[in-house]
This record gives sequence, structure tokens and C-alpha cells, in this order.
Amino acid sequence: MGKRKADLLQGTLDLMILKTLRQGSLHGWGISKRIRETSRGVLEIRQGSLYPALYRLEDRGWIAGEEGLSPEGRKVKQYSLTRSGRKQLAEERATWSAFSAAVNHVLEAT
Amino acid sequence: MTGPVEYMSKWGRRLLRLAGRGDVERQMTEEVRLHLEMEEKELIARGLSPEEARRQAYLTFGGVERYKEQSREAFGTRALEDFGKDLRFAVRTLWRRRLSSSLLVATLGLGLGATVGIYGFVHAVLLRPLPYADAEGIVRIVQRYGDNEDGHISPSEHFDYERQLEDFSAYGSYTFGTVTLAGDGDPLRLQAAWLSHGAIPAFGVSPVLGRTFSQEEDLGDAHVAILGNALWRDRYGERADIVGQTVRIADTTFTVIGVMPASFVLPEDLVSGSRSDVLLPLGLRPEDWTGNRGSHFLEGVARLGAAMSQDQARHTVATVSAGWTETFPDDYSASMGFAATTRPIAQVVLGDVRQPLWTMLGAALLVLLLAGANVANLLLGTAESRRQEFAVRLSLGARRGRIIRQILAETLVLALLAGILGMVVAAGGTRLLLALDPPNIPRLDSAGLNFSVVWFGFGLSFVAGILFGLVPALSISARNLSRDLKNAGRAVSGGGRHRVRRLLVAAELAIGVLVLVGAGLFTRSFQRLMDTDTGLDADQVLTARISTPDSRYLEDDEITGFYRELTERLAGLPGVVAAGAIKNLPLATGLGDLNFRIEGHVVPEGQPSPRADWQTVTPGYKEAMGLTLVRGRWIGAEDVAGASGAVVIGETTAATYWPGGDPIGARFVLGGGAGPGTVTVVGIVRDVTHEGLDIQAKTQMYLPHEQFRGWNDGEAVRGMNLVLRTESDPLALVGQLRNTIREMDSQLPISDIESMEEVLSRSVSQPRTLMTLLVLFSLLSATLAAIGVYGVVANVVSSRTREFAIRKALGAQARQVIAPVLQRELKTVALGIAVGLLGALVVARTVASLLHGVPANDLLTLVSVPLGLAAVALLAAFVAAQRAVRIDPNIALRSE
Repeated sequence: MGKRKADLLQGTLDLMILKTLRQGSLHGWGISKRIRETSRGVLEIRQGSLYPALYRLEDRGWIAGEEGLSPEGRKVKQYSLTRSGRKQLAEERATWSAFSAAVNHVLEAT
Repeated sequence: MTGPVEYMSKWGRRLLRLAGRGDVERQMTEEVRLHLEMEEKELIARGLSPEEARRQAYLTFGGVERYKEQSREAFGTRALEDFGKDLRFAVRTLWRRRLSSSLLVATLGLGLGATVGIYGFVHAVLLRPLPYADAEGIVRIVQRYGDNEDGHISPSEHFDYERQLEDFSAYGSYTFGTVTLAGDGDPLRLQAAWLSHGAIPAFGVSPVLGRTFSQEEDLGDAHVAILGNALWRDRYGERADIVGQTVRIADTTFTVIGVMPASFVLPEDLVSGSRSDVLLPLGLRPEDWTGNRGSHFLEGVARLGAAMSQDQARHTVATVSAGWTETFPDDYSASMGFAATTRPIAQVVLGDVRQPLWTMLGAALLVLLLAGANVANLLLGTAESRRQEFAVRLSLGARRGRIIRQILAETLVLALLAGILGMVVAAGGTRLLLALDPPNIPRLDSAGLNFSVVWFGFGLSFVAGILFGLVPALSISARNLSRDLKNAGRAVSGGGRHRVRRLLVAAELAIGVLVLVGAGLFTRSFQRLMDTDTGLDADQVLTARISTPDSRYLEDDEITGFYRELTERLAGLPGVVAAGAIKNLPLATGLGDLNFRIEGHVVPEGQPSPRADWQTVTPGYKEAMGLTLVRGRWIGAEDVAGASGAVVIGETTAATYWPGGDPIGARFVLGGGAGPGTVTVVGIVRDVTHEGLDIQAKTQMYLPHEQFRGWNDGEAVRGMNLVLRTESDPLALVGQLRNTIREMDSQLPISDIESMEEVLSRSVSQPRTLMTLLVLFSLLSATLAAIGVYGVVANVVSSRTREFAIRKALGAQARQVIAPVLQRELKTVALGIAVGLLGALVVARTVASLLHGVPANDLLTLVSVPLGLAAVALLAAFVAAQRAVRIDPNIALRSE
């Protein structure tokens, strides 16, 4: 793993989880895999840090976890986006766009 | 997809998760394990060896336990869990210090109980809305004439109001009386009210069944009746078909047209605690009353028009009445000072009880404040002894906030327990107070622990708990850690540490003085009241009320003959010393006055004519009631109809109208054409405090029942109160009294059978209730203040045990050791009492109007209370100090 890894900005993990769940419900490992894949491997998050984030989002009511059975018949917790989670995602997305646009602007100006 | 959990509040979800905590923990472990396994599988699929895959999976995951811990915090249940731990720990800690804990709970609980109990009354009586729709818009119309500040309305005036108060949305008038209901079962004596057609709409109340009076029924005096809810329930079993049925009232057939709701009570009934059983049309005809504007007996009520202010209402009524004084100058002489105004109905109903109730609540709040100071004081005391414990915990890394939270948790548990105790005390106290049965406090019977009162109580309990618990909590954590640790095992005699507690004790004593002075003043006032010369002797007197119905007693001599024979028979009963009858029983009912013209006197222009509260009596009354004859003779058997008219006057009457002269033999003519017309003063008796022990007797006169005839109906008085003086317990004669009346007339309802002692006692039960409560509060205050003093001294002394032990070992006497300690506390006590006295001088003035015959700055009270309280406080200090120095120096020195 010789790739450079971007440091996770505070809060971006939340945004990515919400975005990932926008496409449908997933279990914890699935979420981490999807993020890894869609970030083309650049964002290798410490997989363990996903769980506190999941529980925090669940506590805030943005995602809901439900126990179900995996195809192999194992008990597995599936997370899905809630209505308020969807709203939160839209908000964070807008904030993020504004933020990254601003940063880009600054970088290109120099 | 999403369960109901999504829609719950954050804390709701947290609680739910907390409840299934084991479940969540298991889920989390399972989730992490699954994650690791899948990662492993994926890595193996990419070609890694199982061992390497496992290693990589753990590596990319990071510290499993660290993330688990982070996850637990992310649950958001951490705070709740900690709180639960704090509570459990608090309960254990409090249990370990059972004695001081129960003292705390008892202190706060008693203070709360007093406050909540009284608040229950204030809520029931003052804060609950009156049983009328939009009660703020209802006003009573009151008229002033002579020294009568809230006089009634005469029928002619009533008709004028009915015509002229068109800006008001409703106006009506009514009056009270009693009627007999015949029919199945015993004849029943009913409280009746006669109302004009506008009165019930003015109260904004509709019948639960049927309708109210129409204007035609009112003016035509139709035989229709509206039943009160209680009568409908008790007599007619809430029959829905009662409307349209007929009932026999006053030997006439009435058709029931409606039933009032259970909540409906006329304002006067609210004040007196009675209830009108049946409502009848007022039935006054204008033509009967033309020219008579002087017979004031109606209560006027009106409802403000839309957007009408109280000022406008007053102005409108004043304008109407001002018109009369111009139109009818003969009826409203300038000397009468006649004027009409309005008064909000709430003021009419609650005006007299507001101050006593707020006074009680004020006293209760003072007790609560004192209890709170004591709690803070006791908590500071225990905090002192726990300094080391906290110092150790702080040095081991406990956060300061955590320790404060834990102390607050203890306080909350205490507050909860105190709140429960407070409710119990309040419930018991409410019963006790109701047992004292103070009359003339409207709606008191409905007082008790309802939802709002319980809320108030627990709210107060927690506010008090947090407030008084916070002081010690902050003082502990602010302490110098290293000093506390260094002092571990060695108690020092720091002066500053006790300063806060001494201030608290001083505050307790100051509040104690306030409450005690209040109790002292009201006790003295009550004694004065009971020492009042009533003009009668209430010992061993039985009274009862009867009335001869006009259907069967047609002629005057039938009425007077009935009472003559009845009182003679009663006087002949074994055990009866004397028997008589009087129209209005003193200390129980009001009195009407009657004007008269003294022969040979000319009333100067513009001066009011002489008048006196009148009574009709039978000859036996003076001895039965124990009146004192000052001069002349009492009414005798010779004063019969046809004989020359006799009258006995009260001392005030004699002094007012015959100042310096001799009224005996003077003659005057009764006003309004009342019989027997001209009467001769035959005697003077001592005044009777008819309207209450605290009310100065007015001019009074007694007319023979056999001679008097009413000015309006020309009849003898039908309703009389029988009065029996007995040899022993008056209530033992109730049976004989009933039998004797029944022998003469089995149809006659008898009511209000009670001893004169009860009547007297009831007339003073409001001041007695106030006094009893304040005395209870003051005992509580003194006890709490004593506990406070004891606590401080015990603490001071115990922290200096070592020093005392050394001094004793070196040969000091116990006295020499204690004296300086007591001297120090003496200063605290003096400070507190001095402040309290200053406060008492101010506060006492606000209750001065409730005192009778005692000035607010009563010297005896202001001297004895501080001395007494100081003695109690110093005794408590002495006992606490004494206990500590009695310890054997050997033991004390070795124990550290």
C-alpha cells in the first residue's frame, strides 16, 4: 500500500457514509468496501473508525440500523438512510461543494 | 425499512438503547467480528494466506477495543449510564449516612409539606377559575347608602337597572330564602334563590337539562322551578324526565323547567359555603313597588358588554344611580351619600380570604426557605467530613464536573424522597385544616392534592434540592486539593470554613423570628378575640331553627301562639333551665335594620333618622341566651298583641340616641309602618356582638315576637331560632327537642341543630385556623433552627476534638473549653435574631389588618419571641458542645 492517503477531514466520513447509504442499505463492512472502491482506493479509512461514526449517525437519527439475515444466514446489521438523514446529506453536500470550491479557488489563484 | 425508532426523539432512542444495553453490546461485537471475517475472506480471495489475511484485516481495522469504546460513547447513552451510576452510588452513600440523610429528608419534607399543603388551599380557593363562564366579565352591582358599603338593590331600582343597563350584555338580580319541599318522604327545608330572568344568563351558565326562566315567567311570577344539581341527584335520582314534572314547594305546585349543572353555585353561596337547592322566578311586579325605593334586598349582577372595560361599567352604573338622586330627592337624601358602583365578581367572592391565604402561603414559604437553609447547612456539614474522600478522588483523576454531578445526584435523591414526604405531610395537613373547618372560605372543601398541586410540590422539591445542594457541591470542588490531602487524618480548627454555615444558621434564626413573631401576634390576637365581651353566655345552650309555613299557620296569633306554647313546653323539659326564641341567631346570621322616629325628637335636616338592628324575641330568650339586663326590665309575658308596645334596646342604641339622658320610658314609632307602631323603651341590655367577635356591635333593639308585625307583609315573624339553656351537655337534649316540636307539628322541618358553643366557635374559626397554622409553622421553624445551630456547633467541636483533648489532658475544665465555642455561637444567634426582628417589624405591618386588638409592633411578642428563640438556639449549641468535650482525651487523641 504505497499510495498516499488523504487525511480524513473531520466530518467527511459522515458525509461519505450518508452518500453511500443513499444508494441503498448496507452492512458495516459493505459501507467500508464501497467507500474504498468509489474513492479509487485513495481514501483508505481506518476501518474501525467507521463504527463509532455509524453509531453517532444512528444516535442523531440520520441512519437507522436494523438486524437482518445475510445471504449466508448470519445475523447482520443493515444500515439505511432515514428521512432526516437524507436532508442532512443534502445539506452536508452543499456545504462540502461550497467548501471544496472555495479551497480550489484559493489554490488556483496562487 | 425504517422502524418507528426513526420517529422517536433522540433521548427516547437513547433510553431504548440503554434498556437493551446488553443487546447493543452484543450487536456491536458481532458486527465487528463479521467485518473482520469478511475482510479476511476478501483478502484470501485475493490470494493472501489465511494467517496474513487475518493479520491484514486486523491491521486495517485498527485497535478493535479502542473503536468499540469510541462506539459506546457514540451511542450517546454514556451520559445516561453515568447518571444511573451516580444515582445508585448516591443511594448507597445516603444509606451509609442514614441518620443525617433522614434528617435532611425530614427537614426538607416538612418544609415542602407546609408549602404544598397551603398551596393546595390557595389553588383551590384563589387560583382555580370561578364556576362561571368568563368570570372576569361578571360584576356585582353594589350600592352605598349610609354606613352600608355594599348595600342591596330595591325592586324599583332593579327595574330601572333592567331598563337602563342596556350596554351590558346581561343584567339580573336575585335574593335568597328558604322553602319547604313536600311530597314523598319527610318535608325538606330547602335553600331557595329567587332570580330575575336576566340573572342566570349574566353568570353565563346554562342548565344541564331544560331551560331558564323567560321574561314572562319572571314578571308573571309563574310557578316554575329550576332544580339545583344536588337536589336533583339526592331527591330525584338524576331522573332525566324530571323536566315537565311538578313538585310541591311552599305548598304550591311548581313545574320543573330545568336542572342546573353541578358546578353552578351563586356567589353568596360560594362565600357562605351553602348551596341553593332550588331556583325560582323573582316574580316582582313593577306596579307593586312603585314609590318604594327603600326596600333593599336584591343582589345585582351584570355581565359586561363587548369591549366594555371595568371603568366603563362603573361609570355606567354610577350614572344611572346619580340620575335617581336627582329624580327622587325624597328617597335619596344627601346625608345618605347614595352611590352605586360595580365590583368584579372575583373580588366579591374572594376579597375577604385573599389576605389570610397569602399570609399563610407566605409563612409556609418562609418555613420552606428555613428548611432549605438547614439542608444546605447540613449538606455543608457532611461535605466537610467528606473533603478527604473528594480530594482522593480528584487526585486519582476524577473530573471536577463528575464529582459535582455526583453530589447533585445525591441531592436529587434527597429531593425526591423529601418530595414524597412533603406530599404525605401536605395530604395529612390538608385533612387537619379541613377538620378545623374554617367557614366563609369559598371552595375550601375542594382543596386537596390534585395534579397541579403535586406538580407544584415536586417542582419545588427539585428546585429546592438543586439550589440548596449546589452551594456545598461548588464549595467542595473548589477546594485546594493538596491542602485537603495533606490534612488527611488531621482535623484542623479553621475559622473560615464555618463562616458560610454560620451565616446560614443566622439566616435560619432570622426567618425563625419572622415566623414566630407572626405566630405570636396571631395567638395574642386570637386570645383578645376570645376575651371579647360577647354580651351573651354560650355555655350549655342548644339552638335550632324552625319556621311556621304560611299554608297552615294563617293568622298571626297562630304563629305567635305556636311559639309561645312551644317555648313554654321546652322550658318545662327536664334538664332545661330556660327556653326562648329569636329571629336571627347571633354570630350565625346577619341582621336587618329598621328606622324609627323618637317622639319629641326632631331630626335635623340632612341627618339620617335613627335606626337599629332589630330582633323579635320571646320572653324566655334573655335567660336562655344569658343576656345581661343593664336597666329596666326585659320583655315579659305581658307584652302581647294589643298591649302597649314594648322594646328593649342595646347599650349602644341608648348611648347613640339618648346621650346623657334616660331612654327608659321614651317612646318611638317604628319606620315603614311596622307593627306595633309606637313602642316604649322598657329596658336596656348589654350589646351582643351579633356579626362577629371582631365587629363592633351596632345599635340594636329587641321587640316582642307577639307584638311585632312586618312592615311589608304585616305578619308576625314565621322563622325563629329556638334557644335552650340546659343544665348539662346541650346536645343531650336534641332528641327531646325534636320530640317536643313533633308533638306540636309533625310536619315542621327542623334545621341547624347545634350548640351555641359550636356557633361561637365557627364564627372565629378563620382566625383560629390562621393561628393554629402559624403556631405549627413556628414550632417547626424553631426546631429546624435548633437543628441548624446544633449541626454547626457539633461540627465545630468535632473538628477540634484533638485540640480539646489536649487541653483537657493538660488540665482544662470542660467549662473552660466550651465557653469560647458558645461565645462564638452567641454572636451568630444574636446576629440572626437582630436581623429577624428588623424583618418582623416590616412584615408584621402587612398583616396588621388581620390582627384584632393587638398592634403589629406588640411589645410582648417582640420581646418574648427573640428571647425564647435565643434560649432554644443556645441550648442546642450547649448540648452539641457538651457531647463532644465529654469524650475521654485518651480515646480522642488515639483515634487520629
